[in-house]
Amino acid sequence: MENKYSSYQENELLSALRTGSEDAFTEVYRRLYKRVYLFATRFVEQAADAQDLTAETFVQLWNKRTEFYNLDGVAAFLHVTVRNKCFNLLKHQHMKEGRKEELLQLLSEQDSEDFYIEKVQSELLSKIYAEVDKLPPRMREVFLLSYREGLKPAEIAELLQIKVQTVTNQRVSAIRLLQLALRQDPMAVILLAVICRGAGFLSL
Amino acid sequence: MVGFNHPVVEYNSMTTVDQIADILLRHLQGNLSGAEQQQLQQWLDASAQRRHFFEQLHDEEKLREQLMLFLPGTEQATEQAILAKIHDIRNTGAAAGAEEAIVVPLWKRGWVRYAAALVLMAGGVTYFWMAGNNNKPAPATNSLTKTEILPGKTGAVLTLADGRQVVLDSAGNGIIAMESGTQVILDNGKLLYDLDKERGGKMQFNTMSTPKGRQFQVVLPDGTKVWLNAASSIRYPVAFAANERKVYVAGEAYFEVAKDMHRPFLVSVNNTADVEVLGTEFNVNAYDNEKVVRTTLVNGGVRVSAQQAEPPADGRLNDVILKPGQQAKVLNTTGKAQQNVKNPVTIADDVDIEQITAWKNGFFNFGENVDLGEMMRQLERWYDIEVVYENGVPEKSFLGEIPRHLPLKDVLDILQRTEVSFRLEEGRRLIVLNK
Repeated sequence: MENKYSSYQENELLSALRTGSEDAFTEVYRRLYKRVYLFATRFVEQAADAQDLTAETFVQLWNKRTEFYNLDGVAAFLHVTVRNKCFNLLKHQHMKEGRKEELLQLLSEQDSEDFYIEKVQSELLSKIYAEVDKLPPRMREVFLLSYREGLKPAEIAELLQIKVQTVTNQRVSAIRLLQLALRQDPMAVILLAVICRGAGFLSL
Repeated sequence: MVGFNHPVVEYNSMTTVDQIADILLRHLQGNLSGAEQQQLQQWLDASAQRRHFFEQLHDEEKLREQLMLFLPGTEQATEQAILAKIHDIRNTGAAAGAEEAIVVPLWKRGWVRYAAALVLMAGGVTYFWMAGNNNKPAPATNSLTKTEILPGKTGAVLTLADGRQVVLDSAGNGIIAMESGTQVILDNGKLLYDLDKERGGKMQFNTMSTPKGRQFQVVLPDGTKVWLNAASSIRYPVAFAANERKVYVAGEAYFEVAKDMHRPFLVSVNNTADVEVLGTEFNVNAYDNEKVVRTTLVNGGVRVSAQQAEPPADGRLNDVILKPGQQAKVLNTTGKAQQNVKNPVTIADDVDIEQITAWKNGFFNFGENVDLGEMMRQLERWYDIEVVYENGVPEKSFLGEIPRHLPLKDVLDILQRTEVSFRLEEGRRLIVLNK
């Protein structure tokens, strides 16, 4: 979703935002929404709620668009705003008392910089995708599809067009293949376990 | 919120964002050295939020959720979904921070009683204030000023043979389903069928439908390309039969049919007409709320026949073969149970191909043959609005081409230069007035 502001420097971008440019607002959104959203998902159960909170936060930003002169300032505002929204949402939700307390307490903690953890999280996700990308194309597609749809082993076998009786042998090679691709690390095994939904499928 | 405490990380200047992400990845892989273990532990010790985040990393469901949301393919969808919500909130004029502003809980707690007591003593202004607020809290100030009506986008709903539905604008690129041995792949606004092998047995059908405000493209199992306009649908078998290729269409679609000498391509149009294709490109326009079903030939040849016609008694045609540049019109009898109505097919010569297929190329193209009523119906479908005429339907038409990607406001600005004016109201209603 690129527009002409995609390559703009901070100054010009913020200047355009202050004068009410929709495109500039969209660009600022594009640069910062992930952090806000990741923050919300850490404290709020439902993805839809997290999306709503993120959207509301940016609406508040729009309402105060004349007040910002740099992206750090915008980030600080977004951080405070989404934090408050999470706080309010949590307060009215039903959950185990101890858990609610813990989350509310966490919310009031402040780290070294705004959205620090979200930056780490974002970076980590990128690294994980990079690893998944290294899988052979077909394997990757199957992995992603089954991850998304939670397919059972039999369905995966069908996808790979493997006859059921030879699944045993194939199982091993599928895992080994993944392991090799992900540099023989337990992460692959964990993920494969997620795909296959059950220890029975794994022959470790 | 209480003030913050400076975390220990300040002393350990080594851990940049990239470095810690790296350590975390290698932790998941089980590859950490002793020194790195220590670094990680120090990092975690510094704050409870970090430890909470770390725990969530080992939560299968949470990790899976996040991986899916920000996959390079689905990331766009997430970005768009939230942006759409932002526009929704702004458009409905919800007062910012409404949930924080109004003091509803206090009223409900019976604070009113004390206020009432005060009122009797203070009189005047306070009482007025009380009475004014005794109803529900004041509704959010309605800013009708800037209702952004955005144009349609690429997107559709695919209904599989077993009834499952997949919404195509939020699914990422890649394989999205498997249907009797065929892979269904989404590729940048197009749906592709990758037929691994021909399967015998019962024919299974998929339906692709676009709601108002969406258009889409699908490549059928035989390689035929179909562009679907808004509020349209096409029903087709996952694997074509051995002797013919038959699909069912309602709304508007543009076809580029793949050549297959052994299997004629047939289009059943809105239960009104049948189009038999002799290898070619053509446009079909068959909306319920238009009086006529129009098939326009761009290239090749087609035969168009009316479905509910009696044998021609007076020499009128119910079956024609079109040449490029011609258009066949069949009266649209959908919804009318008149079996006796003769349903002749008429031909128009030398129609404006560019105008008829403009939608597929991203434009509205209005002209002398397009009256205001039809023009407004096109806008209704593309922008998902409701059009109301304040004083009858004006007898006007417009000449020209307007890009479809513009927000409605811009399109109306262009159209308002004539003797018609528009007023946009709440609930996506467009009022048309004669000036």
